[in-house]
Amino acid sequence: MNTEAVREAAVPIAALVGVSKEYDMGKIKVRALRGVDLTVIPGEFLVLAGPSGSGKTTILNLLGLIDKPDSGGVFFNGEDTVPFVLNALAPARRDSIGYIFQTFNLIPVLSVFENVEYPLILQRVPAGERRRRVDAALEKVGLGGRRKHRPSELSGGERQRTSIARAIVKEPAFILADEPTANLDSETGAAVLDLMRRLNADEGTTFVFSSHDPRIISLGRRVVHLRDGAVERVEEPGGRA
Amino acid sequence: MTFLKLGFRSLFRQKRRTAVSLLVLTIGIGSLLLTDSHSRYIEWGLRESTIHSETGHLQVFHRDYFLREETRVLELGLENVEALRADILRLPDVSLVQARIEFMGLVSNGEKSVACLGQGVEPDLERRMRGLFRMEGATYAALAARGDDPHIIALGEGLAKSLGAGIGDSVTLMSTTTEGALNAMDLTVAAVFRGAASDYDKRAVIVPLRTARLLLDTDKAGSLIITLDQTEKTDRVFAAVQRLIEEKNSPIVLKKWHEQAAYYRQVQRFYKQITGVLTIVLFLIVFFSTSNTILMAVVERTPEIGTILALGTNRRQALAAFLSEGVWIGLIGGLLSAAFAFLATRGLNALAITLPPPPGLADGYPLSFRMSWESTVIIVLGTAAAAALASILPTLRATRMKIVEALGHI
Repeated sequence: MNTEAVREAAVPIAALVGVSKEYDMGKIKVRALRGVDLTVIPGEFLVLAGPSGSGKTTILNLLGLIDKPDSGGVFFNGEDTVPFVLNALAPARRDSIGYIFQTFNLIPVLSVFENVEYPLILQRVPAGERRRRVDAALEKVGLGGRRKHRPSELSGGERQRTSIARAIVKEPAFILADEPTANLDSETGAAVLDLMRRLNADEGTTFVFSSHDPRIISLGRRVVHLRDGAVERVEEPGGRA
Repeated sequence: MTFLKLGFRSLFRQKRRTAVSLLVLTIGIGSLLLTDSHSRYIEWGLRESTIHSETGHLQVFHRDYFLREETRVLELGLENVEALRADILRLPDVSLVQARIEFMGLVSNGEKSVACLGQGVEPDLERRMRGLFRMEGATYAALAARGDDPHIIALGEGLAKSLGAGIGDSVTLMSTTTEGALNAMDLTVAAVFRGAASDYDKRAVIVPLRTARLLLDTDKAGSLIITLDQTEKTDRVFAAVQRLIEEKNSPIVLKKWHEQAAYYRQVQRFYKQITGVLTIVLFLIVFFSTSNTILMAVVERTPEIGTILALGTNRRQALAAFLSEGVWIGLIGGLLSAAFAFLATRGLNALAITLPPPPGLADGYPLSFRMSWESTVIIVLGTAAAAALASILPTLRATRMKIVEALGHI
């Protein structure tokens, strides 16, 4: 069975169907997405590629259930989420979606351990299990020795690895990463990307990330090229892990 | 718990701003506590001095005393006073019971006569009543020192000056008896006293109860004054005396001290008004200071709000995080205020500062403080509540943001 066949046979975790989105920027309106269709299946390592303004972040926002389209459907676990207000989707975000931000977005007053622990507290995971899972997540990203440090005491790479640990600790259905290496030097960026690939390959963690860096795009198993808010073409250089 | 922790640690993000907010709260609420402590001291001092110099804790009158005017002197006086006194003294918590007679008359030095307000008292009991609150009773001591001699009088300072009389001089006290006849007694001035108000001093005379009874030709008393060992027991003893009255079917009525303490009530109302206005002003300061601090925090931490919402925090939880920050500011500010007020009251009490006399009064009064833990707890918790309330609007603004806008994704 080829990768396309596998993808079609799998049940999507999330899907965008004919999604359009426009942003009102004062006097002008920016069309961010135009009739985009996209599915995310379990175990994928999907890259959204394209220049700035092509709609990468908007797609991530919609898949992450933190924004709503003007038209079309956003399906999560087979259910259209568009009729729900965003606050009603907080449990889905809490339990099923991990987010890795370009600017790390760690909570500065919490330690590395507490930042990673935060999603588990929202899930009301018991303290003992929280400790075990946070320790495991920090070990995976190589930050076992930095758990008591505050974000301000970490390098850029360490901050992003903390952000990855925060995303994987709750074992989400998929992880969205918005230009996760954009604020890192190339060596650190490669290390972070390698970490994400290992998590995908070894543990089947589903990743959807955006980038406009050709070197990073080449690592994607499926690459969705975007231009002016529309899907330009889809490539599958690596196939499914 | 996490949101409380998050709120607490957030106080240290902008240390200077937090410090300024806490300083405003500490000085503002600390001043409120100082004002409250001072008015409590004044109330307490005035209450106890009123009780131990004028009203006692309870007063016994003839049943009709407050219902109609007397047509003759002491028409509505108390009879069989000694039996009644003995019954009351047998009750627990009662320290003293003394009889008094109020009368009007003329006092003369032979050349000049001045209208006066007279009080017939039991000097030794009056002195002991004042002693229960460590008040001086020199006038009563001077009268008591003369034993059973009924021919003595104490004059108010203004009255003595008006008559040109001093200790050892003779004056004549005139009044009408219970039968309406004019009576007069020659008395020796045993003491000159100064009351709280100078106008009162110009008219006041005090004589032993026996003297008043001889002058008015009666064995009645106008009232019985009951003094207890503690003011807090007033209600309990009131009920006990009331039962006694009902059992004996005595034609008397019982009053609590504050019913006869009009001046105390006026002063209490005055201080309550001052404290009330100050409370409103200072709580507004707390409100706006905290509101401003939280608003600034919300503006600065907009991306963080977006982050926690994106991670699955619901709006109620995000509200809790920022509200807890406001509550911490209020709580810490309130506790610092209490500490500030505690130290300031200790220091100022030790300095023993005397304030000038208020209009109409002869003496100054001490700038002293009496901190109440009950009102301190209420004010500290009130400060936290006001700070929480002040945090609601800016926090609602934060939690109503669009997540993508908060994250800066558009």
